[in-house]
Amino acid sequence: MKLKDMTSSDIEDRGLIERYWQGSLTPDEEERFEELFLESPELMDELEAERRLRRGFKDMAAEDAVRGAMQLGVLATVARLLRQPRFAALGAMLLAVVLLPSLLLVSQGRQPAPQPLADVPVFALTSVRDGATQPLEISPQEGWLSLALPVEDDPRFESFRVSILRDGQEVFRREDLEPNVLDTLLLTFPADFFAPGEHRLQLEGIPTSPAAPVLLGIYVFLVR
Amino acid sequence: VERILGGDGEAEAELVESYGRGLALILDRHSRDREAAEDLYQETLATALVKLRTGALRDPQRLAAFLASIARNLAVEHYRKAGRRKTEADSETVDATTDPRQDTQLSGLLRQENAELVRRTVAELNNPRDREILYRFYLADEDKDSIARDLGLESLQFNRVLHRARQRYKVLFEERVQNRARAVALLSWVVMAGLASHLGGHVLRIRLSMGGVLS
Repeated sequence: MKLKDMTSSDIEDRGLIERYWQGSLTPDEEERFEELFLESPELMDELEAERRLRRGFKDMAAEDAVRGAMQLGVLATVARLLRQPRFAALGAMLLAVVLLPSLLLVSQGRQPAPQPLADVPVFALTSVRDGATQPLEISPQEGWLSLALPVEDDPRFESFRVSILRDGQEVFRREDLEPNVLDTLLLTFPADFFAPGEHRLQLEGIPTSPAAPVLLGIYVFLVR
Repeated sequence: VERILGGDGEAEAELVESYGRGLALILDRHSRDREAAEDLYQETLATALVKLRTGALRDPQRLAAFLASIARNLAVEHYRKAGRRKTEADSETVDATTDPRQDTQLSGLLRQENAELVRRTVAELNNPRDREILYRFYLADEDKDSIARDLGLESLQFNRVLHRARQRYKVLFEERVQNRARAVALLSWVVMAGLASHLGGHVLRIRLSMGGVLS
């Protein structure tokens, strides 16, 4: 069927609107689709609505990533500082300040008021080799969760690709990922995104020159 | 097209009116940021009008194709040039342009607000399958086939289900936007009314004091 003869339900059935914004139409299809919608205000309405929706989700993901990165950044900075001998005493004091009120409350038989530690739990993944390390366990709660992957600042790669597999089936794939200012790739998911079971996350570097992606690490995590 | 060729300014305005919105969509699709798309929009219209005035389009039936190709070519050319410039730039400049901390406060606030609006709208969707599909397709960027497989749907069915989920989301989202606009209007009215009564008090006092002086 020629694109120009299509009805709105044909366009819906072929998913042309989302495929257009996704960039998954062939160059020829894309060209003909553009010619078609330039003459159709209804199609333009649909395209604008789709764009608004995509931007909204992108903003939401960005917001979650910023929050997660800030939490991770604070923790990373504190951890880095505490590793230095001159801050070790400060670390001990800080720990005492944090723990003391909790201990006092517990000793008085009172539970501290429930306070969420963070809006989005961030799970920092570490690479495993041949199952030598126990996989990280994730028990998703309501809301969202973020997976944080540390990446080296390697000039060979212009971007990164992450794939997640469960029982050999790919459940997630994302290309063109770039690390944040903390050299971390942060992926945020709805808490119910992962089904229970073992998941394998594969991180690959996409070289700047046309060459095959380079496998940088495999991360295993277990969803409860 | 013939009227533009004959130097009719109104015909040019009509062309912009009819095709401007679609061209903006094409440029948005082929650009990586909104600012570039806006710059390219002006350039596309200017180039198209110059070409049409000089008779570069032989077959007026091909007007849409002609305009779309100008937009696409300008976007490609823009990024080809930008790519060349990027390789010459020092890494610090590149870092500065991509540093998320450079985000302005206003755009940050707008993003936060939009994110919250989307989050609430999705949470309000009655059908859990709508929520799942929208999250997995738009947020997790999951492959259509894998979502369809999980939900036991054929590709065609999936496209329809996604379309309906999107339509329900759209209705809710628009309702929320309208509610927010009404709330902002009401708030503005309350602020203005408060300001007016405050100023009114001053005006009354000034009048009274002037009256005292005059009497």
